[in-house]
Amino acid sequence: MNKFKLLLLASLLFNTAWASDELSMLVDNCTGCHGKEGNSLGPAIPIIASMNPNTFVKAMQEFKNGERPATVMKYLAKAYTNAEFKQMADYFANQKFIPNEQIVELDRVARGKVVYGKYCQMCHLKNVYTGKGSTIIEGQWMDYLRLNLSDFYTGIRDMPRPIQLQVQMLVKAEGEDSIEDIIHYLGSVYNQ
Amino acid sequence: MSNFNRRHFIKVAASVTAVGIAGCTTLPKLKAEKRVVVIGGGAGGATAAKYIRKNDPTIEVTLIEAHKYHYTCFMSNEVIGGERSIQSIKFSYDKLAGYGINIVHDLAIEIEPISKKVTTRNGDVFYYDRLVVAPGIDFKWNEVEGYDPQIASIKIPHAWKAGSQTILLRKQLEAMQDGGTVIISVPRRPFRCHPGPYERASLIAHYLKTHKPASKVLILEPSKTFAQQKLFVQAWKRLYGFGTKNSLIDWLPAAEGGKVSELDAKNMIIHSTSGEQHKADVINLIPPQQAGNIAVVSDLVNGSGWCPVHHQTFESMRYKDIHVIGDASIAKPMPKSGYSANSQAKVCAIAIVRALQGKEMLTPNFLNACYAVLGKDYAISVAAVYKLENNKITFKGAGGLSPMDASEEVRRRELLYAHSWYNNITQDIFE
Ligand SMILES: Cc1cc2nc3c(=O)[nH]c(=O)nc-3n(C[C@H](O)[C@H](O)[C@H](O)COP(=O)(O)OP(=O)(O)OC[C@H]3O[C@@H](n4cnc5c(N)ncnc54)[C@H](O)[C@@H]3O)c2cc1C
Ligand code: HEC
Ligand code: HEC
Repeated sequence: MNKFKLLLLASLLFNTAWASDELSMLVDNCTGCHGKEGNSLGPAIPIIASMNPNTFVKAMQEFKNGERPATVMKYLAKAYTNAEFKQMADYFANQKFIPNEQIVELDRVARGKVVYGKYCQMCHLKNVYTGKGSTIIEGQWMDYLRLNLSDFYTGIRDMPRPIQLQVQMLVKAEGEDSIEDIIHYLGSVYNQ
Repeated sequence: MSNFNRRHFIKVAASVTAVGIAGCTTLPKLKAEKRVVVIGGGAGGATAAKYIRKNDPTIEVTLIEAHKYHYTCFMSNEVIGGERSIQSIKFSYDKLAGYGINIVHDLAIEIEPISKKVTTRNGDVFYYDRLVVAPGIDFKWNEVEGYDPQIASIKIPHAWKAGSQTILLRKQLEAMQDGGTVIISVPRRPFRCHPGPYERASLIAHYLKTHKPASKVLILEPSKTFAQQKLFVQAWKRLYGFGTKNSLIDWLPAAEGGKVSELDAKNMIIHSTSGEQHKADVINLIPPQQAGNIAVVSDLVNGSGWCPVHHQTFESMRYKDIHVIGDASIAKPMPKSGYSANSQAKVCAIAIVRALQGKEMLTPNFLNACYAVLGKDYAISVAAVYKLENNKITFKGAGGLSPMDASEEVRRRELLYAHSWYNNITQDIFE
């Protein structure tokens, strides 16, 4: 598919999204916390615009079942069915990801870029439509990344086995502080 | 009609003519537009105006708001505690104007449900097909002897509408000597934001702890218990020595003199119904509340002082084509909160747009979330989704409170999330 067709498709999806009151009724309630079209203004509630729809549904199901640690989402997710998760997922997947400028330390960014490329990038591709990725983490709110990586690291949040191995390798080879370096790099990606 | 002055007359005449012309002209450009008027540009009204325009840009929307700027009550307790600036809770209507909303800064003083028009203090008249009334709250001044709007504006702030009241209370706290007592007098329920007084007590204690540690906050409680009491008490024990001799917070329920009957502003003394006298250096007296005045004088309230509405559309049960949203409405079990008002406004916007397009209304759902900030790196929350069942807003179990005994880390996260919520919801309301 060429670029033009993709754009056209995106705008069609976008328009139908706004045309349906049923859908608005579902997703507009999220705006107060996740921001306009899922683009949270931070500092910690995540941007969910452009989130991979499969990961989105998985996240909501895990919140609902109490499998993923959460403050409010474990309550809110209980209100919805799988079909509704899917509708929400498709809507947010089609919203443009709009990151914000964040305060970063440049030496950390430089170090983070290297280790991120080595240990993480292969899975966290920028293009979320490939179906492999998770949330877009390049440009995500740093506080949110910090909370989740800490939950992964301490085991509070279950981490798929391959990621776990990768993170363990990272910490062993580069030290625990390299996680903070990666966070600064991810936070800097869209700073211009 | 006493306020029927010449200026008023001309305005009425002018708008009648305008309607007349639009009505009989054959020019295609001047097709009869649907008109919605919104009274009140707070969490409910501003959201409604924006979403009606978003859902159908052919509808003409006029927002009548008394003030040039809106100061949100949410996060105003952080201003009172010295944690944030008053500028950071101040919002203008410039960005809403960008949606093509006609913004009028004036006070709506009369609604005529038969001829379907609203009159303002300046004498302007606005006709509507549908009206949204979102005036928030006003106070029942006669319930505490010795308290009135004049005293509130200079000496004994309620600070339950944000802005100059917030600043006044903050200045009084700054001026207070160490060793002083701050009274927060809680009104009887229902009132705007049930956890609000206790959040305020916490953030004042937080300020005193570092700046005036020999001082204390005394909460006067008109009943036996209060919202989220266990979570608050746990936080106060952890942060402010609650229950010990040196506690920065004391709490007196009705049985111990917490029910207020009279204010002696001159001597800074509060009298309780059971005869106790409480002397203080700063008094924050929050009076009992009802729906905003315009709803009361327009007969939109029932005996409770709040407005009964159909929960599917938020249309008034008393007058057709008038919708009441936010604090002024009766939406139990939803609390009177900013998130509730915002969520109700979106449902109401869909209901109005569909009605004007001749479509059936859908089954709505609603969401509420409230964060309370209790100190350094410490916040708690309540969040819930509500559904419509038998035409009533119903809580079906999808919701809950922050857990008791949570770690410091969890409380710290909720503070980060609370600030994120504030940034996002104010954008949703005012931008
Ligand atoms: C200390 C405190 C803390 C709070 N914290 C939270 C919180 O953390 N989270 C939360 O969700 N909620 C919180 N709330 C509650 C929240 O502020 C209210 O529930 C919310 O503002 C209600 O929205 P509303 O639109 O009904 O009224 P408001 O937001 O008060 O808006 C009403 C508007 O109408 C205007 N108006 C009134 N009458 C007229 C008239 N006749 N003509 C023209 N304009 C008029 C007013 O000027 C005002 O701008 C808090 C409240 C307080 C007091
Ligand atoms: C009260 C604020 C609030 C509301 C309302 C809210 N969220 Fe969340 N959301 C959060 C927070 C905070 C988190 C982080 C997990 C937690 O602590 O609950 C989160 C996390 C998520 C995630 C995980 C993102 C990731 O990167 O893995 C998804 C998906 C999500 N929310 C979807 C939604 C949807 C859909 C709605 C509307 C139905 C919604 N949220 C409403 C606050 C909120
Ligand atoms: C093997 C592929 C893989 C590798 C390697 C990997 N990740 Fe992930 N990552 C994922 C997947 C898949 C998810 C979604 C997990 C889930 O849904 O439970 C995820 C989730 C995350 C999240 C949480 C996102 C959210 O919104 O909840 C963060 C943060 C993260 N990864 C960072 C990293 C970092 C940093 C590295 C490098 C040290 C890394 N990942 C390495 C695949 C990978």
